[in-house]
This record gives sequence, structure tokens and C-alpha cells, in this order.
Amino acid sequence: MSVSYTSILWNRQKKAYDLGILVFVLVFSVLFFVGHAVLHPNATFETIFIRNFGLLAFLLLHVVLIIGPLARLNARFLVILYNRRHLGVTMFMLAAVHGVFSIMNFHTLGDMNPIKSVFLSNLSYDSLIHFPFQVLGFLALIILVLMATTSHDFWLKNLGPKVWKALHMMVYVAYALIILHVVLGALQNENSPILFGIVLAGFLLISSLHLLAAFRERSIDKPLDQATAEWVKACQVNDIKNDRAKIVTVSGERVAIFKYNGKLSAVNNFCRHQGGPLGEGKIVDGCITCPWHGYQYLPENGQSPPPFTEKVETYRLKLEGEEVWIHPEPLAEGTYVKPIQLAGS
Amino acid sequence: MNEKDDFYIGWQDSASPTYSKARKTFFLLSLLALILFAVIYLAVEKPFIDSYFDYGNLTELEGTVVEYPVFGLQTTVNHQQVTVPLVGFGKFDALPVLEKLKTQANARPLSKLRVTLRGTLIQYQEKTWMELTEGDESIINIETTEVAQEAIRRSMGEQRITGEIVDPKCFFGVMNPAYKKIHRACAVRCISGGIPPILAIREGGEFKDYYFILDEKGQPIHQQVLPYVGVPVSMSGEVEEVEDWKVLKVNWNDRQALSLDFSGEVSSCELALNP
Ligand code: HEM
Ligand code: FES
Repeated sequence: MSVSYTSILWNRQKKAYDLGILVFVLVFSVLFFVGHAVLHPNATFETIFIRNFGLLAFLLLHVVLIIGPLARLNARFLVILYNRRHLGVTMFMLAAVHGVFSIMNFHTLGDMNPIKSVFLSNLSYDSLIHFPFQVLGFLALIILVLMATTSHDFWLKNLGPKVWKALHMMVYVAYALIILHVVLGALQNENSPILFGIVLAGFLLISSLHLLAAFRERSIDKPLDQATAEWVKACQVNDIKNDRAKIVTVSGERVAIFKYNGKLSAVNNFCRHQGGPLGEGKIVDGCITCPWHGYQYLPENGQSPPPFTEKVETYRLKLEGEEVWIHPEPLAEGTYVKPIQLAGS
Repeated sequence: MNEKDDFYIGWQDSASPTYSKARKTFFLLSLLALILFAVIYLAVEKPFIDSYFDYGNLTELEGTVVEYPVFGLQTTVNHQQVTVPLVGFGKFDALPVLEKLKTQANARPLSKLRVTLRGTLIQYQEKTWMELTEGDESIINIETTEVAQEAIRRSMGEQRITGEIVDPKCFFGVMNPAYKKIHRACAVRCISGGIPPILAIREGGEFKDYYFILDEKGQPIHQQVLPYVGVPVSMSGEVEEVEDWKVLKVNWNDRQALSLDFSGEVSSCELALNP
């Protein structure tokens, strides 16, 4: 991680980002409430309120989900990835307002515990058309609660980046549940091919971007080594740009080989913060800098400069002419490996 | 190229022009998509019926209390002689108020009382309902009259009727919309809590006709109705006119008397019926 990071936890960029989210929420809500007052004055306040927050959360979820693949496809979108957590937490809060208010509206002041009522009022679990769609929203909301409460770096540290990442991949389960929640609920009532088309378009946008990004990275994930190989050929020296890296896969792990100051070093590609791709980062001030949130590591030993303690595995390299070879066996996190000196520098 | 120019670092105070431009573009495009979505949504959203809940205002009505087909007040609303069904606060009936009235009537028949009740009006088309918001405090006055009011009842024979079972408290104004799938769970709660189930009939998108659903002996029925709420359903039984309302008396033991009806809704679908 970087020394400069600590002093600026709340910088102008974050403020601009959060202001953007606020504008997003306000513009939609004002439009939605005023639009109803003009076009649908008979709608009750609760209906508008519930729909407003459900739709806003649903729209923001789309934004959250397209940022990842967009940033993988084009580095310029890293600027939106940086503060994705705030977007995620905002989306959760909007969904929570929608869910809690729906439960209050439809299930309280009755003859059954409201939470029980969500599950027991509509019992058509054996039918697709009549399926209790609120249950699907409820389950999605529970996933979002888990994600929002563990979104802080405190939990990231405690759970470890791999468990944390796995937990946060549940957002796709939540998305699937919410799609069904909408299709089997509101869409069925509205019965509008246009709204159905919009939901479908959203789904297609998200899935095609993910497929495209995965397709792009296919070549990276092709393993270089056979199981028995000792040293394997990784690339040509010229394949790597100055202060940048090439990502290769050995022994099932992505490894970033950096070229800097006429030297070569290799570290595990998985950033210990949230698993960002270090190999898409850059050497800044002598440190590998993660493209996602700017955590930093020294290339020769994979350690964050003091006082930070993050460490990644390092790898041995050798040069045969212009060919860069890598030893697939990772060294323990933070192990110093003497950088390869390139000829003529 | 400047070293930091083409690489984005979030914790720096500002992003390079390439990145701040990307952020601006992404923000503007999302905002545009958002506005477009809101406009399309508002344009295609199903219209709302013209129902009304006079939330926050209490109204006093004076008339004769009836118990059939449901607890209600025969009274005058907008110069029309109507029966205003009475429901409780939340998702409950107002039967505790009826019990209280009977106690206060002191063995006098209800038909010989003129009662003033206070509550919140619920109105749709020419139908008026009232929520006895204040519970027992809703009883403002009870007077004895000499002329006993008898409700006019007329049998209209066996009929088969297709519609949707709704909870009338929400349907006639407390919530809007209050029918079909999104309202099913709430309607189940209301009917389970004692709000009388109503079969609402639609013609060409408009609601036209309403039937109180009772059992074949004319007794109130709630729990048995729940699996049929909020879905298109067809039921047969004796139809009766009671003043300005209709009643459908359904034999719940006769499976032929009830069926889910998907005509015009979801044609190829059948719901496994396990009431
Ligand atoms: C406790 C959990 C939830 C409950 C009880 C619930 C309940 C409901 C209900 C009753 C509706 C229909 C409202 C109407 O059309 O008038 C609805 C619609 C909707 N819900 Fe949820 N929901 C929950 C969670 C969620 C979550 C987590 C999301 C995520 C974003 C979500 C998104 C939506 C959307 C987009 C709609 C469609 C709005 C419309 O056009 O009507 N819901 N929900
Ligand atoms: S800095 Fe957050 S993932 Fe690397």
C-alpha cells in the first residue's frame, strides 16, 4: 500500500464521485415523484415510494455490475472502479429502504409476524407464474446486507482477500434473484413488452460485457507450463513495456512480470487489497501500483513499503537471450528475488 | 508522456484529464440512461384507478347498523342511500366495535338504532367504505328510533362469475394499485385478518361489479379464500342483491364451484390447487 494514501482518505476525486451518486439518486427521484403527480395523480404515496427506491437500486446495481468488465476492457474506466464500494453501499441502502418499506406496507398491522408473512402469505411456491416474488427480493436483500456490512477493509483483512472476494461474488446471485423478483412481480402486473425489453436489455448488457472481458483475458489464462516443467518460457523482453507488466499464468496462478529501470521482477498478480490485477498496474515511484485502488508493492520482494504490511508471492526469472523464463514455483510472500538486469542498461 | 499521465491512481487528489474525462462521460451517459428510463417508465406504467383514501381526516356518518352481508352502516352519502361497509384499523375487521355497539344497545335490536360513527372514508366509483380508525372511540352516538330498518334482499339465482378476489379495504382506496400479483400478499393478510373478501369483476380494463363472498349459508368466510386471492378465479353459487351490494354464496366443499381462470391472462398455465 502507498504512503501517500493514508493522508488523503477523503480526496476531491472521492467527493466528485459521491456527488455524482447523489445527483443520480436525486434526479431520478424528483423526476419520478413529479412525473407521478402529473401523469398518475391517483397513485398512492407508498406505491411511488416503493417503486422509486426499488427501481433506483435496480438501476444502480446495473452500474455496479458493468464497471468491473468495463474497467477490464478499457483502463480508462478504472476511474469509476476506484470508489465502487460507495456505489455498492448506496445501492444497498436504496434497496433496503424499498424492502423495509414494502414489508411495512404489505405485511405489518396484520395477524402474522411481518417477516413470516413475507414467506407465508403467498404460498404458490409450486407455480412459476404465481411464485411469491417478494421472497426473492428478501433473499437478495440478505445477500446485499452481508456484502454491505463486510464491505469495509476491516472485514477484508479479517476474512482474507480470497474469502472476501468469494463473498462479494454473491452479488451475481443477488442480481439473478432481483431479476426474478422483478419479472415475476412488477413486470407481471405491468404486462408491458417495453419494460420487459428494458430489463432484458440490461441483462444482455451485463452478461455480454462480462463475456467479452473474459474472452479478452483468455490468452492470459492459458497456462505456460506442463505439470513437470521447471523453467518455462514466459515472453520476449520486448513484449513488456517500460514500467509495465505482462501477465502470464503458471501453476494455475496469474503472475505479473514487470520491466522497470532496466530490470525485471515477477510477483503474483492478485492484489492483497481486493484482488485487483497488479499486472495491469504501473511502476510509480519505484513501486508496483495497483490499478484499482493504488496499493503499492516493491517489485523485488512483493512487499508494501513500510508502514504497510501487504505482501505478495514473488517468482524467479531468468533470461535466455531475449527470452524471459519463469520458474513456476512461487516463493513465500515477500521473499526477495534479485531482479534480472537487462543488458545495455 | 508524463509518467503519471496515463495511469490512474484514486488516492491522488485529482485524476489526469484522460481519466476525469472518462468519469464525466460515464456519469453523463448513465444519467442520460437514467432519465430516459424514468420517462419511458412513466409513459408505459399502467394507469391507476380513481380510488381515494381520506387519510388524516375523520368523517362522521349517521345511519343504521347492519350485519349482513357484512358489518356496515346504511346511510346517505352524496344524497344516495348506500351501505357503507366498516373495517378496522390496519389489516383487521371492525367486529370489536360491533360487539361494543351491541353491549351499548342493551338488548335493543340494531335495526331500531340510529348510530353515528366516526372514521376515515375510502371511496371508489359510487362505493364508499369506512375505516373505524379509532376503534371503540369511533362510536359517537346511539339513539333509538321507532321505525325498524329492514334491508332489501333479492335472490338472483345460481351464477358463475369470473373475477379476482381482492381485499376491499386496500382495493377501494387505501392502496393503489391493490390488485393482481403485486398486491396478493397484502390482500391475503387483510382477508386473513377479517376484512371481507370481495370478488371484483373487470371489463375491458375497468372494474365494473363487486360481490361479497360468503359461504353457502351466507356466513362470513376468510381462511378458505386465501389460496384464491389475487389471481383470476371463477366461482359459482347463489347470487343475492342486498341493497346496493351483491353477494355470492359459494359452497367451498364443492370443488366444481371454484376454479382458477386464466382466460385472457396466462393461457397455458395451470396452478396446482391445494387449498
Ligand atoms: C425485503 C425485500 C423486498 C420486498 C418485500 C420487496 C417487495 C416488492 C414489491 C411488493 C414490489 C412491487 C411494488 C409495486 O410494483 O408496486 C417490488 C418491486 C420491485 N422491487 Fe422489490 N422487494 C424487496 C427487495 C428488493 C431488492 C433487494 C431489490 C433490488 C434492487 C428490489 C427491486 C425491485 C424493483 C426494481 C421492483 C419493481 C418496481 C416497479 O416497477 O414496480 N426489491 N418489490
Ligand atoms: S488496491 Fe484495491 S485491489 Fe489493489
